[in-house]
Amino acid sequence: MSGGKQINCAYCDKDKLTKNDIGLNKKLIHHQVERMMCMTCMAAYFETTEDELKEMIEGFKQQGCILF
Amino acid sequence: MIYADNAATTKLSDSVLKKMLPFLQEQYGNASSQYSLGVKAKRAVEQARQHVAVAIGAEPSEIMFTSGGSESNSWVLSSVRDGHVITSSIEHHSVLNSCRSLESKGIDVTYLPVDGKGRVSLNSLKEAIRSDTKLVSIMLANNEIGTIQPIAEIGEYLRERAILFHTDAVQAVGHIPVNVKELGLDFFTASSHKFNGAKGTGILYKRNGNLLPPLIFGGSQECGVRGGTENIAGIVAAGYALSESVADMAAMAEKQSAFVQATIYGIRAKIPTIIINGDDHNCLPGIVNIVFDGVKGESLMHLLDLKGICVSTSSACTSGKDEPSQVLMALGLTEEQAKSAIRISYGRYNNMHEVETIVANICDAYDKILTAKL
Repeated sequence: MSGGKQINCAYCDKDKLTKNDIGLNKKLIHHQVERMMCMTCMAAYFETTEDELKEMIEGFKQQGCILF
Repeated sequence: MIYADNAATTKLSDSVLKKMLPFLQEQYGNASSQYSLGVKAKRAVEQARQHVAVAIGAEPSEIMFTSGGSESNSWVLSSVRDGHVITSSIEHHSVLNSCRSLESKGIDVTYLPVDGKGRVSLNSLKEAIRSDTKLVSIMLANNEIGTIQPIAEIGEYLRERAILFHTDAVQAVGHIPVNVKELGLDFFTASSHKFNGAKGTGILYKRNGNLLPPLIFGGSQECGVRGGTENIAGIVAAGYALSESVADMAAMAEKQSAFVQATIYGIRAKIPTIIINGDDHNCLPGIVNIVFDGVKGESLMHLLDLKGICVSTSSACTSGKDEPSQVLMALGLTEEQAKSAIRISYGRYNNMHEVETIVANICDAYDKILTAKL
């Protein structure tokens, strides 16, 4: 997140992506990704479920990843 | 689930599990006890020692059981008290961190470079040898790229100069033929869970006549240098698993090499820009390390995980900073390339259908990441 600026989903325009949403975009797509997705769009795009993505985030947190 | 990370660990073999189980329940004796329950446990340990010795061309008296490869490596390295040690820049952390510890005690360590395929050259070793060189530790095969080192040539050279030689063979044992005498080794490390044995049991070969300081003070177990009640079930598993691996090694190697070729062929057909790391000719049969241009290996790994496929990347980000693999950097890759690699490692239980699924999912994940990046 740059300078606390609000980031919206580039696909469905959901506003104010969370730290977890942004971290997951960086983790699964690229650190420099510009067009970010919300959790719902990301689950659809990668053909998975939001629950699976949330579980993955918990794993990253347990590993101490500061993106989340 | 499709498990293709057999270089990290392997599934315990069913037949090995059957051999282990009695020693966890009805045959739970302490191998140091004098009554029959203990005698049977002791016999099982010695039988496992025999199995391991036969598998690697050693004498049973030269085999010691430890808790794993890291313990075996650390034990050998930490036995150096002065002088100079030589290792390579692509060793496992248990060797590299042991070397850092030696350096903190004033012992000089030379880290040999490798070429673009991950091979140490005998010439660079010759140039690094000093009059006070006490030990050389070079791995038999690399865990990230599978490259096999010229251990027999190095062993022959060091033997003529009476310099002790250790190899970390954790990744190689059970997958390629290994004979400690033919390789000219003084010390050798292996780990049971890398060849379908159980986690928690390591092997240390120590050539008869070589000395190691005690690691654990206690009873008379392991010739009195590593005290503590033996992990009987784990040791039994190590013996049987290694025998089993050696028995069908050629067939397994052929199968896994075919999987690797199919993986490379299948991915390259869709993504021609991939780079294969390592040595085509001197490599372990089941490991392939691939760089994907423009995509992070970590992203690919996680997307494959969502599809139930386990592969690995050596530059996993756990703290926000993703450090590139030191092994891949040593090959001369750029930091970007090193961070764009994944390792696929096939094992005993993989099949060609799984290989095809892995290839399809990698290509799909790669496309999705590139599209989303735009």
